[in-house]
Amino acid sequence: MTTVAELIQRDGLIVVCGSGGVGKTTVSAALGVLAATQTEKRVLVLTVDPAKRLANALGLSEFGNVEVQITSDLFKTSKTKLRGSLSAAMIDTKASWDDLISRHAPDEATRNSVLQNSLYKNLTERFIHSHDYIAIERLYQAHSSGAYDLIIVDTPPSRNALTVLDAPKRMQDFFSSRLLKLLTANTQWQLLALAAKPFYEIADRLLGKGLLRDVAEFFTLFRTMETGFVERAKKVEALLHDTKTSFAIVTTLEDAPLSEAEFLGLALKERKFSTNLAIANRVIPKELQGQALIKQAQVLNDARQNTELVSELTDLLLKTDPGSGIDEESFSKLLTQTLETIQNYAQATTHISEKQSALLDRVAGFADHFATAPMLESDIADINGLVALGENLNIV
Amino acid sequence: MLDRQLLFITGKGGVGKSTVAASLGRAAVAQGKRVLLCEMDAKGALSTLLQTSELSFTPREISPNLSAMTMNTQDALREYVSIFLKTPFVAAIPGLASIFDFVADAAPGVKEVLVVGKLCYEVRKGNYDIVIVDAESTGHIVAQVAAPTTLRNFVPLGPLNEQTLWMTAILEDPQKTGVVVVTTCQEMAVNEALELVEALQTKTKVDTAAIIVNRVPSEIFTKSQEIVFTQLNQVAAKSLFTKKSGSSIDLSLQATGLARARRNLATHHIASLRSGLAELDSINEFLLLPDFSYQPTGSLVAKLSSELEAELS
Repeated sequence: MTTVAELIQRDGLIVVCGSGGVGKTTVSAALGVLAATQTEKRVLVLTVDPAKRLANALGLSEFGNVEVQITSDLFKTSKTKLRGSLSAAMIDTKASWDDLISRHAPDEATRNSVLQNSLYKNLTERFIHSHDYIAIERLYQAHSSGAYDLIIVDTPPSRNALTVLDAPKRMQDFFSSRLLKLLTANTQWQLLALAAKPFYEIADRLLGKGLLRDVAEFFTLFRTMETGFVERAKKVEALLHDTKTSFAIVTTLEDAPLSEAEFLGLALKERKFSTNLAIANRVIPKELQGQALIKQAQVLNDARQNTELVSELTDLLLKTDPGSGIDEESFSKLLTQTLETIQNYAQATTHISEKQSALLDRVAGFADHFATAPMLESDIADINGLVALGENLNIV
Repeated sequence: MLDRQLLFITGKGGVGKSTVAASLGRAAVAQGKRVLLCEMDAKGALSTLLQTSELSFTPREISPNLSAMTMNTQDALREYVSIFLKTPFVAAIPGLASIFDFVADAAPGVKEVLVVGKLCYEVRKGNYDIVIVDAESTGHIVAQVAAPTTLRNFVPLGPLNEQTLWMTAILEDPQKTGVVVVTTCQEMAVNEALELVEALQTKTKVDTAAIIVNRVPSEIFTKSQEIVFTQLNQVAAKSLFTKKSGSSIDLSLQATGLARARRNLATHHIASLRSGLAELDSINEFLLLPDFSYQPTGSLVAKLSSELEAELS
């Protein structure tokens, strides 16, 4: 049987998608740890906004585009050891944008004007879905450095995961849009500027004097970087389509996240991207699925009415903890209540597990391989937790 | 919180914002209020939750006293132009909407003002007692409610600027407007909720009306049951049970143990939320909504709204 470790070995780049709150970042980190412990690959995990404890688990203390190599020290208490190497970085969108501007600006003056423009910050935060673009851009950068065999990028939580895929294309479209040409025309062709004049007048009435002109000035500046930006976006887009790149979709087996995963999976398929792996997170552990637990709920139900059992158990438990000062009758009652609660939760667990397996079928439709990760008793806070999660990823 | 006229329901993606917004809407109707629910991101989640057909910019009454709409910047622009500039023909100029969109994307506050303006306008018109907004997620809400002020600083003159003054008056009045922060009992969601409350305090003058923790697992054992559960997990008890009943209950103990661990984890995160809020001196309503995943199916909105009715009455 194929294992997740074998699956991720084949790919050079894995883009991890999914809706918010499903554990995407944790799963990405676990995939990275798995690859670096099961193979000799040089692995990088790029993450956007990890929980503090998860970041600490990866040895990251602050945001920055610096790739931090995880030392084997972190694996001290783990049975599994590093075979390859593992690095991680938290993507800093603002710094990445500044970096892009510095790289593509034709001269220092333009660079400084852009970086200091008051519209710039707003633009990088909102325009052209910049977080999405930056995630892919950073993937490209890390890939072309040649320093890694496998890069796993955890995508930002988007309103719609497709914005990540479309980000490079949108960047190109942005520069070639007629609107941008029209807006920035005044300094290029006076003739077009004349044509744009009524627009300025109306916009001034609507927005307030000069706003449109300010915006136009900024974009004129921005357009000087067109060639660099567009070329780069093209390369980034090509990388997304490369056979080396595959997508992994993380979801929980609940209606809303699953619907989004399904939508994304089908959209990826339509665009001929390969979705190699879907991972259902927080699945009721295997041993608690199925008949054995259902049978036990029945056993518990019978046991509560079995006076002999209850009384012998009462004797035993009162003997183990004589200090409780509780009389036999009250304790029997308490015991029966506790057994009832346990029975209820056995049944509830079966109920959830049935709901989950009913939803599981829907996932088969959009990914080549499908794995589950178990529901855990606590949040993952160290390498051992990530190792365990990776090793517990079971292909269905 | 339902005594206010404008509520923004926000939180990290995936915490159940839309479900809570819809449930609050139903709870307000149950209190005899005329309610307008507004969806901000046109994802269609609200119409699905309310089990109704697709929503549009024009509010539609979907059940007695409950109307719903979906926000759309283009429509908001058109309405703004025709109402406030009294020049309906301007909006009809081809290409204007797209150039406006372009500028609005770049200039801070323009898009948000249109959107927030529409919501404030509904409050001012008074056709509804309360407008409940299924708002954008945490990252955008501060920009949204602060938009009128941001825009005033950015564009010191112009008609849009003048319009922002009455919007601010509604938004910054805690009697009228409030933000409701929804979170689940997960580490990241709690962190984001705290960051948001702090950002609302420091970057805006908009009041935080309530914190709602969604999907809180219920308590599993009483204190004395807890002790018995621990005892039952001991080898001697387990083997006596197996001997007497003919079957082990190990899996049941494990299943209950897992549910108990999840509950303890949730309690831990709720505690850090509370202490974080205390540090911020944030005095708001604090509500816990139960997790229904351990219960058989049924309308989530119906369950949550009756829960909210009980909590808020």
